[in-house]
Amino acid sequence: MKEHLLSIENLKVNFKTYGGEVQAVRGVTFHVEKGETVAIVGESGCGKSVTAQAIMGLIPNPPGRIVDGKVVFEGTEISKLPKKELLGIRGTQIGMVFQDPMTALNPTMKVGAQIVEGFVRSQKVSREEAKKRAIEMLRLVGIPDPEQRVDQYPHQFSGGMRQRVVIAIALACNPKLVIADEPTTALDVTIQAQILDLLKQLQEEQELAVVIITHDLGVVAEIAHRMVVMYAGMVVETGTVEEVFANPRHPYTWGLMRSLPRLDESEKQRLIPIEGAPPDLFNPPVGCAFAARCDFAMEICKQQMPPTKTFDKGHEAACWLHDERAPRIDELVAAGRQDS
Amino acid sequence: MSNYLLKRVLMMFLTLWIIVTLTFSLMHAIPGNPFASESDQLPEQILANLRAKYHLDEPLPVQYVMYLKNLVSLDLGPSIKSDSRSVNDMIADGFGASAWLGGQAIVVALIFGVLFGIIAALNRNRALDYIAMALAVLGVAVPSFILAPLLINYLAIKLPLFPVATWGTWMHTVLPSLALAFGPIAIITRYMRASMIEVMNQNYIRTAEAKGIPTPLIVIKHGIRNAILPVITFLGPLIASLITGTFVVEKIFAIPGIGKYFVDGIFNRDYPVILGTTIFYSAILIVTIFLIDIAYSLIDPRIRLTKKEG
Repeated sequence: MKEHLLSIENLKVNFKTYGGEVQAVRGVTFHVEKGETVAIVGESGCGKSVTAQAIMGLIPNPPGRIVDGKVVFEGTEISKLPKKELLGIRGTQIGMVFQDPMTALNPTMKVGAQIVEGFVRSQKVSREEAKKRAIEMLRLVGIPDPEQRVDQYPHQFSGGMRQRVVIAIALACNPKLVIADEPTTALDVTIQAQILDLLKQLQEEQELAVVIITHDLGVVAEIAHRMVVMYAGMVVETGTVEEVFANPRHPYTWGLMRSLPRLDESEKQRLIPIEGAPPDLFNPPVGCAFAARCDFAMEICKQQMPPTKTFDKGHEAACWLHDERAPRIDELVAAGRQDS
Repeated sequence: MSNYLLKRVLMMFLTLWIIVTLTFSLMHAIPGNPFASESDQLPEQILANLRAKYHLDEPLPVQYVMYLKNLVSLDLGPSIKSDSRSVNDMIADGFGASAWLGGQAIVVALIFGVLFGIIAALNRNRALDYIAMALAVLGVAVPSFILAPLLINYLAIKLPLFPVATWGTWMHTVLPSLALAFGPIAIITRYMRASMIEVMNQNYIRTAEAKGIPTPLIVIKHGIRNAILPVITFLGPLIASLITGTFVVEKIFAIPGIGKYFVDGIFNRDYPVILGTTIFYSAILIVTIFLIDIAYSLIDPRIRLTKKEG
């Protein structure tokens, strides 16, 4: 078997709270190849961000802890590394872009210093070299007048410019992998497009692997090669973006697709929301977590976890509908239409 | 910037003038006068002569104008009770000792307060945090007139490390400085802990973690500078009150500072001493607050002095 750049196997993360232990991530498996962009999609609270933080070893402990599973990066099991060695990987091998650029930068430190902080630490460069690097990074992420900007503070930057700085921080040490946790959610739409273009361009130029976390399928279609759909702390479907968009295999993914506005619909059509709310992760259901909201749920769905089934081109989905014994989906759809 | 400074200095003088005026009128509003205790022993003529000597027989507005005139030439007038010395002499003699003690106490309080605050914040809800917070409560609750005798008893008598009292070598300054610093250490610890906890939960700390910076460096480079503003705010009034001497600690350790003049002056209705010490304290407070404002803008680049005054 070929070695993946990053592979996550059966990752489980719990958080202790006063009300009990929340199972935020309940057995997530996926992998990222070199130079590939993988999107993790899912609604709020499905464990996307926790998965990302677990990769970086940034789960605050306590209250959080990795209960089971492993994160393997270039053959090293980084989820088991001592903190000191993990620090050597963070920033230099894996960079991270955060959601809210307004708060992700230290207000009392010059942006240049913030960009090269990790670089200076790992490369032991002189001050002039560090500054040169900072200017180079600012230019790379498309900030005009980098020579002046390098000595300014974050409050002198707009939101979009700050997100560019955050990206520059993530890239400063030439990492092989960048994890972007909802990098465009806090920005207005025009800026969102710019930042996505930038990420895409950098990913191609630097042959980066990117894990992008989002709840926006538009972002996925724009930037990702493969996608991982998460629901209630588990992966329900993975595959190439083309495959998943063309032939979604899991009812939750169908729901996500139907809740998107489409340009090719000629008539005004209402978006169809997914009714209900995700399950309580203090006490997750024994069977499929989506069963309670699923139009096609069968008896077995509530009793047993569905197995993951593989389709063409590495397309996988975890749903009982793909069991040989299940009724065919079009029959169910027909039945569902009669019900409503 | 120079425009701002000019405006600021003008405001400082205006503030001081208001304080002088208020103190002058309040002082004369309270009953009694400098010669009240002698008034039944001395003949009327002598009292009248005394009053005339210190211009107390003039109408108040005249006295006020005379006082302001002297003040402009930095003359705080004579002390009525100890007539050989002027108020200027009193401050000149005592301020050195008071300021030295206060200065030492501030440095000690700042170093230990910030240190304990950081330790408590990083070990939140663990043993070290509880110890630091227990000490902080103690520090706020135990007044200096209890702490000072305790220090003398244990560190000067039972374990003769330091002199018991009086003024002379640096060793004489250790116990009073500690007595003065104890309360401020406690307050600074609490401020620092609260703001450090807040800062360490900020997103930019997570950004620094993602860069692979070790926690101690994150605290030093990203934490302290963002967390220290509340402490700096508290430092302004603290500096002013500590370096102008404290009545209790100076009394207990028999230190020739200026703390006692603040109290004695009021008891004796020694008008020039009351006014002089108040003005002196106010001037130091006003200047300190000005310096603190400048420190703000050096610490946090988002604070700009030249912006419109709010």
